[in-house]
Amino acid sequence: MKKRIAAFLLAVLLLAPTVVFAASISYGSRGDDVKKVQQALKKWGYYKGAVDGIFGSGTLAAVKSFQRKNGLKVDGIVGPQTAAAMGITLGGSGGSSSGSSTGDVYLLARIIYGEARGEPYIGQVAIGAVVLNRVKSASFPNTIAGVIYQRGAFDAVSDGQINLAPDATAVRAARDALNGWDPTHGCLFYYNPRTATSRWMLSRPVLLRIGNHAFC
Amino acid sequence: MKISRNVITYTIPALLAAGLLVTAVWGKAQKARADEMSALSEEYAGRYVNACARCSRELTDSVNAMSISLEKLKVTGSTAGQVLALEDIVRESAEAGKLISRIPQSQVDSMELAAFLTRIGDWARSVSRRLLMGGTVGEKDKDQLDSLISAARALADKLSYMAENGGFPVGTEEFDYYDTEKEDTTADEPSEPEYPTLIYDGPFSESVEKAEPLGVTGDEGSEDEAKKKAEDVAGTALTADGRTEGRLPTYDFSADGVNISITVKGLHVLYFMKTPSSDLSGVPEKDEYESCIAAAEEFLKKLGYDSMAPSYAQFEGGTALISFVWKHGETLVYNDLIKVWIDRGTGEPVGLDARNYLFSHREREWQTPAVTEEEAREAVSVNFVIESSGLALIPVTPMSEALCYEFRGKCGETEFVVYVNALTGREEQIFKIISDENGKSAV
Repeated sequence: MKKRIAAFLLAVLLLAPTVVFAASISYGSRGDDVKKVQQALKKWGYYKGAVDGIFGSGTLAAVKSFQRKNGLKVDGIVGPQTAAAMGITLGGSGGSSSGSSTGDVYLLARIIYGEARGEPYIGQVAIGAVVLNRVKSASFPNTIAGVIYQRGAFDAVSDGQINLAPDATAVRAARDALNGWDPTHGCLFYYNPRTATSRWMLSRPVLLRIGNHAFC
Repeated sequence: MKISRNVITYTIPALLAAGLLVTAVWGKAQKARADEMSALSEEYAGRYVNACARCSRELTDSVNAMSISLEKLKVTGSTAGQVLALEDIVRESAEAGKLISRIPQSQVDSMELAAFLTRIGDWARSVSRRLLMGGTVGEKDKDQLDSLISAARALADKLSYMAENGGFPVGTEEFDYYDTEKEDTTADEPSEPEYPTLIYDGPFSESVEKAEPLGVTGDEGSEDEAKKKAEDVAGTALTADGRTEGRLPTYDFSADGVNISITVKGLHVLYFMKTPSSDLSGVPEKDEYESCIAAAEEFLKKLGYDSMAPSYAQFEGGTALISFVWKHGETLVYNDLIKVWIDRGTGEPVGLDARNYLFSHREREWQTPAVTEEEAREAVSVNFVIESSGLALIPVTPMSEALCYEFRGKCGETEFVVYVNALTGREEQIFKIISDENGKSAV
């Protein structure tokens, strides 16, 4: 666990210098990407031929008809946009590697939505930042799930609101927080001054207020 | 007349009787259901209490084991033995730290203990790393170890006592499921352990929490000056939201969909965040990528950062997020990091995060490599095919950096970045590059 966070801190800083440009496949292409495209097209009834990994005339016709139906540029080439519309990713060794980080974004979005929907956008990012500040603090669990599900840490967990599906704003706030935006300048707690009862909490110096929340 | 009497004499009582019967059957079903629910809730409560009891036992065991490993460490003479004991401490403290967060206790009450457990593991890792790099155990380590042993011993005693005497909070406050024998015991309750402050260099050390923003230069500016700068950066009229204190105090400004924080000292942009117009996702074509880089570089120049090199890029939520690192001559300084977001719809900058740069940028004492690049290549595994190389200053621990040769390449189909220390020739860090639909990241 400690190792993960330590590696994470360094990994945040040491990131690769270049970008893989989006792969695209077209008439004459062969390989696993072609198979993925054929499978997707077959599933939706655009393609009737064999899933053989060879981009031939049957595949070309199917891609064009898919593009026409989905309002894409009808060029018969499966680039990033067409692939995205098909729900597949081209290139690489298969898409499961990003699973954990996507999961973190979604879990963080859930707690943000459960705790702070209706708050200003920066206030939603701030909730995400408090969770991440706790992950980095020695006094709290060292994973996002550990912090969120710690007993009594968040009302939205106790009353089940964390299980609501987050909206797009909460997902964006989660991503901004994970990318490093911390409007709270390192705060570990927040509360609603109108409803808070914990004397310990109320005795802490408040660093800033956003919407209905005081951060400390 | 007769009919209505019959109705009164027979039909109504019959209906009433039928009604009563239905009610009785329904009531019985309801009661059975209520009994079922209460049995179920008892079963779940029992399971929960058992889970808590298991947690407290395992916590006690792992703190005991950790305390013994600390004592063993003290009497171990060989470096190999010390490293092995330290690795045990890392594992046992991590286990205990995980368990403490599962005990149904207020997070506020467990904070101090959690921090103690985290820091023991963090300290052990930093000492172990030092030993593996050829360092030795000093007087300071011995003093720290002594205070750690007594604190861990006291904690283990306290937890054992609580586990035996029902001192752990279990279940909710209203129900006392745990049958304790507290009254019968004659043992004295151990006193509260005192946790020593550990001085070391690791991600959870107190010195990290107290780090100063080294890159913030210049004099204190006024809110009006800050507002002028913020409006210039954001390209729109802004409202002042007051000051936020903390380690790096800022003036904060906002408009609809725009937030910007300017440091009080030196008036640097700390954060700038604007809602993007686009919702494009996925890695773009090369032309678009290059124009994003150019727009980000221009934005950085405008803010006075003119020696920044683009590092990696990610494409999410309508933006290109490009990380820039400071370039000293030909050396990349990864700690001095600034992130820039470009709106893929308009090509305009819509975000900046200079926090890392502002905390770490400073005058450094530069060393010249003692090992040539050719020699450094020798340290790299034969399984790794090098495609490009260069010099980089990388963070090794939160408080230290190392001048390294950076080798990028592949092992099979998988990309890695390997760092070899340019002073010692030793392998320092390895990162695996993960490419997905949003760009690249390193783990």
